[in-house]
Amino acid sequence: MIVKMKKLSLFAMLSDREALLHELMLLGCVEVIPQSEKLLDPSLSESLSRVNAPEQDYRNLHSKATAALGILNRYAPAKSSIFAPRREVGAEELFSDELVCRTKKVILRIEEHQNRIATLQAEASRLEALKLSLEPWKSNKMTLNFLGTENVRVMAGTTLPSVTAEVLREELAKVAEEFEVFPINSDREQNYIIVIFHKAVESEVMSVLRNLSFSRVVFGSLKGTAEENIEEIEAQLASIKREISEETEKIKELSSHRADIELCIDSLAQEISKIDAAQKLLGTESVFYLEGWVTAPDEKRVTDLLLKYTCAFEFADPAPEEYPDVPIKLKNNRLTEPLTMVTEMYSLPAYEGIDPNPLIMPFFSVFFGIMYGDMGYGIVLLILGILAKTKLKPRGVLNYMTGLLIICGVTTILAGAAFGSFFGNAIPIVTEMLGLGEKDPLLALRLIDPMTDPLKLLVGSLIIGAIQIIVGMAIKAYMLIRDGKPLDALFDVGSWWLLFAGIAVGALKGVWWVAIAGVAALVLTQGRNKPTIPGKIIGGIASLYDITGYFGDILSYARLMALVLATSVIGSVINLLGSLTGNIILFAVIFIAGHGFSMAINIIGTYVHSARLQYLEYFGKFYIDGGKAFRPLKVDTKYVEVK
Amino acid sequence: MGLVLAFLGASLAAALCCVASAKGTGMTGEAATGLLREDPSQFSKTLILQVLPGTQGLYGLVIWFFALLQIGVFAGNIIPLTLVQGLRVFVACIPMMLGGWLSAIYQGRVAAASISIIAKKPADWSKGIILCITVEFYAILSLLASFIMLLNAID
Repeated sequence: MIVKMKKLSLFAMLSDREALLHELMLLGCVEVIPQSEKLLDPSLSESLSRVNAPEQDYRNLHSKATAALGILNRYAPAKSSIFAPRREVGAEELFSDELVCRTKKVILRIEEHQNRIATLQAEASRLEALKLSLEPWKSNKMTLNFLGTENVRVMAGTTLPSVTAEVLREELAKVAEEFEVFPINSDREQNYIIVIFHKAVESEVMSVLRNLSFSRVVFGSLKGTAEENIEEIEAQLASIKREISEETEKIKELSSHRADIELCIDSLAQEISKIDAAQKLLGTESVFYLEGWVTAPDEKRVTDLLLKYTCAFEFADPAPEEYPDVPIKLKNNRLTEPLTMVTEMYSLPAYEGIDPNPLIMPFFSVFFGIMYGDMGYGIVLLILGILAKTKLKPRGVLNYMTGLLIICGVTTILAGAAFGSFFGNAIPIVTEMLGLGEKDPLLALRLIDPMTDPLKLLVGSLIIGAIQIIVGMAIKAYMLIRDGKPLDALFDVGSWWLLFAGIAVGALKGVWWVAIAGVAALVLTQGRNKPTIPGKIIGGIASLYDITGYFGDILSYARLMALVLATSVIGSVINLLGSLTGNIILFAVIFIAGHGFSMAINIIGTYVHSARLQYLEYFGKFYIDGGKAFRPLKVDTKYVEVK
Repeated sequence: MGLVLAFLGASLAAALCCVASAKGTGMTGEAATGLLREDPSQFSKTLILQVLPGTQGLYGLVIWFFALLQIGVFAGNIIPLTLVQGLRVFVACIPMMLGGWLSAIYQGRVAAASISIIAKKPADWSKGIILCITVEFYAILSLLASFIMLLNAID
C-alpha cells in the first residue's frame, strides 16, 4: 500500500533549530522540502534568506575519517565474518561530541603516519632511480666528481651501441694524440665510456665526440666512487624501509580504535544530514520556515513533538496538482516487502497509482521457482536466506534480497519437486555409482518431466502467462472503477475479455459468435475518444491490431519453459561429467564446482527474466510509475545499529 | 553419413553459440576494464552485465546435449541414423546455431554500451540489464524451436 502523505508547514524560532531538527531526525518521518525556489520571488527574497547553518568542518573530517578507516583496513584488515551483525550503540553514544573530539586525534595521527609513509616511498623511489643510473659505472674506480687536473680533462658519457670504445679511439686518433679512452660498461642501449684528454686538444676532441653523438653524463654533487655511492644508497634505502615498517606498525597499533572511527564516521554523517536539512530552510533573523512531507500515520507523533516548542504549524493533504512531487513510501507485510527490490529496479509507483508489491509477489516468486526449478538449488537459497536474515540483521536492499532468497527458495523447492529435479539427476547417478542401482525417491513427487514432456511444460507456461495478463487487466479495471470510470473499465477491459473468452469457446466448441461479439465490442468502443464518426470507426478497427500485442505477450512466457530446460540440462551435464570419472570423490569435486557455477550464472538470468515478465507484460497493463522515494531526515548509519 | 550430419549440427550449435558468447562477454569485459580503472567499486555491476551474453553458450550446450541424447550417445548405443534422420537433426539445430550466434554478439554490444550507464548513472544501471534481456529473448526462442524439432527428429 502507498502510504498517505501530509504536507507540514512550520514556523519556529531560529534558536530552536538545532534541537528541533535533531528530534525530527530521531523520529525519522519528515522529508524536508528545499525552499530555495521561493527566493527567486523578489517579494519574498527581500525579507527571507537561507538559514545560515555553519558546516563546522564536518564534511572535511568525515572524508578524513573515511580515508583513515580505509588506511587501517589496508594495513590491518578487520577480522570479521560475512555473517557478523553490526554493533549496537545507544543514540547518546552516536551523538557524543566527546567521541568526535577523541577520535579526531586518532584520525589525524593515522593521516600523519600515512603522509610520512608517502614521503618515504617517494624518497625511496628517487633513490632507486639514482642507484639504477649509477649501476653501469660501478667498475669505474675514479671518484665521480673528479673532472681532471690542471692540464687534463676527464669526461664520462654514453654512446650508441655501434660507437664502441675502439671506434671512438680510432676517430680521435685522426685528430689528436693526447687522449685515452676507457670502456667502463655496455648494455643493449648504450656504451658507458670515460675519455681523458689534454686541454690543448679540447676543441678537436669535442668536435669528434659531438659527431659521434657522445652524450656527457654529469653526476652532480655526488662524491666518491660509484661503488661507494651505491653502497650508501643501499644503506639509506634499508633505513627508509625500516622507517616505513615502523610507521606501518604505528598504524597497526591504532587499529584498536577502529570501532571508534566507524562510530565517528556514522556520527559525522548524521551531523551532515542535519546541516543538509537546515540548508533547505528559509528564515528571517529570528524565525525559520520548514516545509516537509510527513507520513500520515506519524502526524500525531510529529504534533506531540512540535507542541513542546514555540512554533506555529499545520498539516495539509496534498492537492492533486502536487501529486507528482509527493514522495512515495510503500508499506507492506513481511511477505510482500522484499518485492520492493523488484519494484524499485523498475520505478516506484506514482502517488495516485497502486502499490505493485502484493500484486507481483505471487507471480514473481512462482516464475523464479519454475525457472530455477531445482530442489537442491532451492534448499541452498533458503539456507543462505535464513542464515543472512538471522545472523546479519540486514537493512535496506540487503534485507529485501534476503527476503527474496527465502521466498524464492521455497518456490524453487516446490517447482523442483514437481520436475523431479534435485541438483539435476544427482540422486539416481549417485545411487548408481554406489552400486545400488538407479533409484530416485523423488520420482514419486514428479508431476512433469521437462526432458521427455516439454510440450506439456510449454502449454503450462503459456497458461500461467495468460493468467498473469488477465489479472493485470483486472487491476486496470479496478483502478478505472476506483477513479469513477466504470464505463471505461467495461469498454477497455470487458471487450477484450469477451474476445478472449470467445476465442477459447471457439477453439473448444467451434462456436464463434462470442468471439464475433467481442470483436464488435472492440470496434464499437475503442474509437470513442476520436472526435469524428469516421475517426471513431477507424480507431475501433485499428484497436484489433492489439491482438498481436497480446499474442506476443503470452508467447513471451515461453521463456519459463526454455529456462527450466536449460537449468535441468546443464545440471545433468555436470552430473554426467562427474560420473564419467567413476570415482565418488572426483564426482563430489566436479559436482560442487559445477553446480556452484550453474547456480551463480542461472540466478542472475532467472532474476532478470522473472522481473522482466512483471515489467513488460504485467505492468504494461495497469502500472502508473514515476514516483520518487521518500527520503526522510532520519538516523542513517553504516557501521552501527542504533538501539 | 546420417550420424556425421547429426554430429555436425550438434557441434555447430555448441561451437557457434560458445564462440559468440565468448565474443559478447569479451566485448563487455573490455568495456568494463575501462570503467573499473576509474571506479573499482562497480565491479559487481559490471560482472553481472558481462555474464549476460554468456547464456547463449549454455543454450548451445543444451541443444548439443539434447541432440546427442536423441542419438543415444549417453545411453551407450549410438543409433545408426539414416541420411534423412541425420539431416533432420542437423536442420533442427539450425535455429540455435544462428539465433544463439548472432544474438550473443548483439547482446554483447548492448551490454558493452550499458557499461557507460554504470559510469554515468550507477543508480540506473538495471535499465541496461533490461535492454540486454530483450535481445536474449530471441536466443530463448531459438532454443525452443531447436528443442521441439529435436524431440521428434529421429522417429
